[in-house]
Amino acid sequence: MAFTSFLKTCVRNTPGNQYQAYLCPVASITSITLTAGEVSAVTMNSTAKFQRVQGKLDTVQFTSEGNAGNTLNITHSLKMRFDKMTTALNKWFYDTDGIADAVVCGMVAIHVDGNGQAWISGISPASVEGTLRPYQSATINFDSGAAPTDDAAAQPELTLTRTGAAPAYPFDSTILATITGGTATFINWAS
Amino acid sequence: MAEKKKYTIDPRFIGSTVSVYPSIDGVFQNAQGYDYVLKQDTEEKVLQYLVNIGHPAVTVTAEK
Repeated sequence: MAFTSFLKTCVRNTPGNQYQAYLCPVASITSITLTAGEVSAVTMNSTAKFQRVQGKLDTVQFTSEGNAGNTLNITHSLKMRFDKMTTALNKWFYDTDGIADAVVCGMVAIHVDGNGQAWISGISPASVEGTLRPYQSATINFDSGAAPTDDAAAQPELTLTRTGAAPAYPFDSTILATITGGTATFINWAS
Repeated sequence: MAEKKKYTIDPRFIGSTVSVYPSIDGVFQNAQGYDYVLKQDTEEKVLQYLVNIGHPAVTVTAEK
């Protein structure tokens, strides 16, 4: 492929992400399909689905740091905070089949940015990374704060990280509509 | 005589790269996936695999 031009379009940009992201163990995915650089299909193993994860508004942050020289490596981080620590959240972090268990084999994430575009990260065509490089690290932080006036305290924070050679991939408009419309068949919308 | 199968590929997926990650009961059978570029003459075993995993690009019908 020859090097090509890139021409700007003058459109408004909205930083940030929707407060709802979607996670699943990487082994739940049986295929992804890229058409012209966009994800046009996702199939899942048996009844497995991406699970919805609702954080606190304006705390979901996706970062991507790419370093290109003789090699290309890209580090992704998906961070989100939650309103407060609860029994359900504690179990979701640490119980069997919780985040702490799921990152051992790795996880795949979908986030929807402030412009309404959904992205998948943690999975790629075999030709890009050679082997699977999902999110295999989770940092779960909590600080109770010391007083009721500590407004930003007591909000558990989850950070998933991965390093590979693949970028996050955008979904095409057909699948995007099903994600934002709540009908994507590869996401668990029931609970 | 065994029925012959006819595979139909949704035209919007022609030229797409399908990356498959074979697994059984949530356990991967390989450390990496396989990439297939969908073409009109994609071999039958690949098309059947895509049908088996419920890929929307391929439908199969029995030809009499």
